[in-house]
Amino acid sequence: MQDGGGVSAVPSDYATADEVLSAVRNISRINHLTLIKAARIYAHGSIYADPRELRDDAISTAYLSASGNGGRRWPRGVDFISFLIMTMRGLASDSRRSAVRKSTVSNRVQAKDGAERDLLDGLEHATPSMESVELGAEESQHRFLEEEAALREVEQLCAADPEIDWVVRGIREGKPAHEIQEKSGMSKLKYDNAQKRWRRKSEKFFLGRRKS
Amino acid sequence: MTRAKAKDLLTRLQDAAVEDLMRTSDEELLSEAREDGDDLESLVSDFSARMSMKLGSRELPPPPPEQDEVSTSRAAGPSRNEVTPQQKREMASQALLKLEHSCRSRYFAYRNIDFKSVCGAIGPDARLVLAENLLSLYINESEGVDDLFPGSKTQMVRSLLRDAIYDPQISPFVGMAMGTLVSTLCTLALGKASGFELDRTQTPAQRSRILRQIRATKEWRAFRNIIAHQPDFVADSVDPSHAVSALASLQAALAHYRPDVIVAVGGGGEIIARFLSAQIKMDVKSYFVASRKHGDYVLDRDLLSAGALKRLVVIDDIARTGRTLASIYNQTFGGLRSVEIKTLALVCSGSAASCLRDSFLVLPLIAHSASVSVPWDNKGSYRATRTNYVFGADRQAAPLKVPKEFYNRIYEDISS
Repeated sequence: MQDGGGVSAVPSDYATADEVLSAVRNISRINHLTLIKAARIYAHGSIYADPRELRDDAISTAYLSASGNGGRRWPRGVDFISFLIMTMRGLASDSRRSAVRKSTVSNRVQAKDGAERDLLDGLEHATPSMESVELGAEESQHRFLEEEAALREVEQLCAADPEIDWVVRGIREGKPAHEIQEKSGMSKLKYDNAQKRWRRKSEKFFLGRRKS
Repeated sequence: MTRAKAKDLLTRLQDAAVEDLMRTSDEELLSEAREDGDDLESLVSDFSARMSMKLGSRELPPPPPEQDEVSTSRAAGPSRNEVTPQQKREMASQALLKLEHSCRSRYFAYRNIDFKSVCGAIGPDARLVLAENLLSLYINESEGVDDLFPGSKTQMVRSLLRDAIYDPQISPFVGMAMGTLVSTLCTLALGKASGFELDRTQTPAQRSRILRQIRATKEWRAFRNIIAHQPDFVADSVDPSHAVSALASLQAALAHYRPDVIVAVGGGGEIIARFLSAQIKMDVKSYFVASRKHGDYVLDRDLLSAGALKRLVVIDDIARTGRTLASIYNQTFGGLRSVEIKTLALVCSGSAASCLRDSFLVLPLIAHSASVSVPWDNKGSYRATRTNYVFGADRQAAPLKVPKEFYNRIYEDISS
């Protein structure tokens, strides 16, 4: 595959659109479950009210980028599910930065100069009205309050389960698992179980916040 | 904690949870799915239906392989992942509503900025992409383009479409033509999903007859009914821009209907009822509140105090099940035979929409989920400041402030 008009002498390290489609077709049931669970976690705090939208956009991004439409491409040799999860992470993170509007891949078009842009970009940036600025600021403030509330709920969760508290503390302080395990005096099994409990709670917790 | 730190911490917590997810064995995941009630089969079929919308039907993933990493006794049948007529109908309606929504969004955006500078540059691109997306949905769906456009080819249709959209003489009519095209395509798609045979050997007269027959079906009428009211679909929360458009639609409908009395459903209904009654300059004597007492809804004072009345509108913010409005409609006002009673809700669920369809004056928003929420605290109140309309005021959560100038512009667009 060649990059957007340029000529590449060596075979591309990135998958083609057909390969992406084939990988999508071959997603097993268990990987469907993994994807939706990851989407539930990352959708929190993003513009994606439904985790399925985040998953779908990640797949569309993979497909469109492989078709030469720009965006993150799937490198050959990287597990497809891991790639999709990282794409979901990126999409969710991008959406948090521009919380005011959702820019889905379906709105993206290739301009005549080859650059990718959003159909509505011209509208948004031509003359941002006072109203949209004000609504945007309020939305941004609202999201901040939501993030703070989420963190407060994490704290409550930690207060109710001291073992989860250790896990979260480790994540918060960026400490490796074995160090926290040692510090807390938990066995490896206990620590792993606490970590599992944290993940299970966070899946429902993040999802629950958006559905409220 | 600063915003950046809060966001960073949340991201790290999310990453850690996903890392654990990736380490989890398949057996454990399956056991969790059973515990959480996640049905893998419906997860997969839902995915297939959504992907066919997203990538176009030609790229619709076929049923996933039977062998999972962990073999389960629940083998999928060959027909399980086929797109059902119901799913096709949903896809058609979603595509049309998406197009409608995009047109409306851009329309409002145009009004906020210099119309001339943008219309020429952005309009055709947007129209072309939307039209091509819609065409792809149907043209790629079945055997080929001949199925829907006898004697044509996909490329030819696309090329003509492109020429038409960029042509300075034709472009002013594009909106109108697209409306007709969309309507015809959706009619054909709904008809095909309902089992009508679309044969390329049919004569124009036969095709016209089929179109008429499709338009006589219950599905088509139900679909048309939704389109005629132009509701927007929302997921599980109404965002501020949808809320503003919906409020303006409600106001336009009320101004046209000119009710003698407005009855607010106590609580969330009061916020928008107060706003709307102030907007249409309703006399306070004509404003009532219905609150729940011992299972029934009763008014805050005698309805007779409003004098003679012919038209009455009951207003709520959210109709989740439709029971509240139905109860007021049937029981509280069940005895008022000479009065025409209509209901209004900012947003309602699909089930509420179908059970109350005849009573709604207008239906601006339909939510996929019955747990839909509005973008303000509905236990708060409504207030108007010098520059803003404030919804959900007097509560801890930040209210929704809608600049008056902005709202009025949207209202003018809708009412005109």
